[in-house]
Amino acid sequence: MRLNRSIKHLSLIIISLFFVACSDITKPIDTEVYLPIGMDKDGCMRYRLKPTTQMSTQVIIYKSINDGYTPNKNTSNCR
Amino acid sequence: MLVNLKIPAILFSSALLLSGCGGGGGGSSANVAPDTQESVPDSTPVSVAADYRTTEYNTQYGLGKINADDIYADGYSGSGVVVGVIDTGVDIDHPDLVGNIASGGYDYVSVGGDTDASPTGQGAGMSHGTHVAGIIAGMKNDVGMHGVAYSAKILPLRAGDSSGSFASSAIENSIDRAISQNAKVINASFGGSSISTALADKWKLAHTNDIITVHAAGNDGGSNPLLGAQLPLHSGYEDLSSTLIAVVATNSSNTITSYSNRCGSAKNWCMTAPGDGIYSTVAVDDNNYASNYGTMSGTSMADPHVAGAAAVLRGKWPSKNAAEIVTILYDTATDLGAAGIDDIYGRGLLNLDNALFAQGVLTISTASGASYSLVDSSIQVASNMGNSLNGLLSMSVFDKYKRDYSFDMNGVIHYASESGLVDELNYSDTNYSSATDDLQLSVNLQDNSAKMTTQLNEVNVGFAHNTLYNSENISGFSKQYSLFDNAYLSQLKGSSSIQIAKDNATLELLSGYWDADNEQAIKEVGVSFLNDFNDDFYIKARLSYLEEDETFLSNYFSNAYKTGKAKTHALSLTSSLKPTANLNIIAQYSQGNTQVDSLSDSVISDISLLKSQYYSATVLNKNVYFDNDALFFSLKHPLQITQGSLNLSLANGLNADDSISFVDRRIPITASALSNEMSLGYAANYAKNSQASVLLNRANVLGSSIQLENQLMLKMTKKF
Repeated sequence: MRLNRSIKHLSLIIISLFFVACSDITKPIDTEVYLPIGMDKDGCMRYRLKPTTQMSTQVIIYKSINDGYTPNKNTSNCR
Repeated sequence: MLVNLKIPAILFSSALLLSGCGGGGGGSSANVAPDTQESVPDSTPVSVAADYRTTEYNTQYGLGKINADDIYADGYSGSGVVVGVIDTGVDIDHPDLVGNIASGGYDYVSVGGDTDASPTGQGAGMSHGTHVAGIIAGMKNDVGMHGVAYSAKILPLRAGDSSGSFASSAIENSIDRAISQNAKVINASFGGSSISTALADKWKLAHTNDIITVHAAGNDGGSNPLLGAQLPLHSGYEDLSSTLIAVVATNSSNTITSYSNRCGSAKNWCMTAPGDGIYSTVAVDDNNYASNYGTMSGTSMADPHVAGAAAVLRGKWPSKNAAEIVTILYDTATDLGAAGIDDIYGRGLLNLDNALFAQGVLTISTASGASYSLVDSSIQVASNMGNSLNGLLSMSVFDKYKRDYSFDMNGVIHYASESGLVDELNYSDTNYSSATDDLQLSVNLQDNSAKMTTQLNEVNVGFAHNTLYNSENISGFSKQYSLFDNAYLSQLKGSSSIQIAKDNATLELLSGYWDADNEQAIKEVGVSFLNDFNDDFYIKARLSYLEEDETFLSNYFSNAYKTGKAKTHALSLTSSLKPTANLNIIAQYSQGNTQVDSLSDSVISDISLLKSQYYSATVLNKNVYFDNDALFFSLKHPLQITQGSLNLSLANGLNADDSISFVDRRIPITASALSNEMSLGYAANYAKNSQASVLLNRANVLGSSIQLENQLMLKMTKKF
């Protein structure tokens, strides 16, 4: 019983070490979040991309008419 | 000793001057090809910046905001410079980019990687890299818009996916690739709230490889830039502040945008550029745009303006390292917000126009390593050199960043013309003299000259100040029309001398100055022999040795062009014939050789032996129509250098190692364009203490070309 528990613990440590050691070569799971940063002078809400772990482009984003996101204000849903 | 000095005279004179009735005598000069061998312009320079304010230029308003047109007019737009664009990929087949894509790009996002760095997959970030690339190096082809550095090459390095997210490892690989592909600038229009040590070390590696890295400050509207732009704040990365630029975004009114992070803690390595509503290229198949162009906003768009400007400057001054170019960008930025470096705009708004122009004091460098202020160095040319220096001679001068600028040397040449009717009009005869058996004293109040001669044991001894070089004055006219005893001393501004004569031999010693400030010294030793055939005819031979400290034949080259001692040996022959008691015919001929020492710390590296000559003939008739009137005619060939040349070691741009390149140019300085001058003058006393004089003069007027000018002067003078 004690041996089984030790093996279980050891396997968890090994799995953890694997993920730590390979963090540089494995793309971590990321979530793309668009944070609203206020409206522009035309009343269009502006967003910026903020991935949870990665770096991102520093461009202003708008909500598009098809409920996606676009850097092109002319195709945004406020036009 | 009796000295009859008259009551000090008050001069009244009225004059009528008619001049400038004709020209003639064109100038010739030694033409020397311009030595503009600085970095090769990207295009044939067009004279005015306005020619570059095209529809393409105006469509991308950011170009006007950073004043890009002047450097285009100067012929530079980033040619030869590779800019690494680490981004979401670049549409390498875009018609406005295809000609400016460097080979060697790479896609680190697609599985396995490949050399096609074009974006794949639709997303909000799909065209980001293409837009950034267009701002940097969109082609100038009368279509759409063009980039800041429209002749630079884009190295597309895809590290971000089409949503706009970047993996650290892909960025690191991209930096390595940019280094290996010899990129001079890296644009990083991305950022985040954390940065790995591995990535920070890669940015440091770019720094040590002399690459300028330009980082978007971020769009959080915060007080400080994103972490990547703050790297120099961290221990071990401080040196990056010299090559890393953080960029915040301003709008079309040059005001910080609400979303842009401020420079804050990175203000010393931070500046601003237009980033709001920037028009540029987008990926051809991006569903977000209806055409191949569109607008985007953000510090991502401000960033490539600075990257493009850095590329233009690196193309213009390829010998400058990354830190030097960055310093120039900072120092020449337009100050915005609080005066000086501030927390919002940092160093200020990118100003490419300002970055082009020379900053600080311009200097002239010599081959020996000496340096002189450009404005403190000049060349004052006497008439004996004519306009021989006028030509296409140019050299490189350097600003405070040791950037080379082509300078036309004609701007430092000042011509000293001997003829001038203004001087003649101002001249009044205030010559007084008194004599006893063995003492004669003459004083001229006009030029503060005085001369005293006496006889000691059959030896004539004379002491003179400022009069020796005037052998014979012509009544009513200034020394300009005097018959010079020694043509080589005709331009003396002041002198003192001793003359000792016995029988027909004379020894004279002179010490004087060429200039009014008594700085350009000259010494002279002269021996003359007179053969007096009879009372009406004599021939005099004079041997002179002149030594000038700073001038040669009264030509003054100052500071960067300075010359050493000049030693002149001259022979003058004068003959005088008096057919009647009132008529005197005088002919003169002089010839001299001048050896000028060159100085190691001067642009003038060598001066050959100079040969010079002068000749004149004058007919002087007194008591022609009235008592004491005078009529004279003079034909004179001014003293001129007939043989000789200068060698100039001229700075000629910068070598690849930033040392100064020099080229030797030898210029003949013979005054071949000087013409014979003629004067016809008449002076008479028409009442007590009243004199009228008329002068018809045909004289050389020096300038970039030599004009033979006719002048007519009428002058009436009355003494009270």
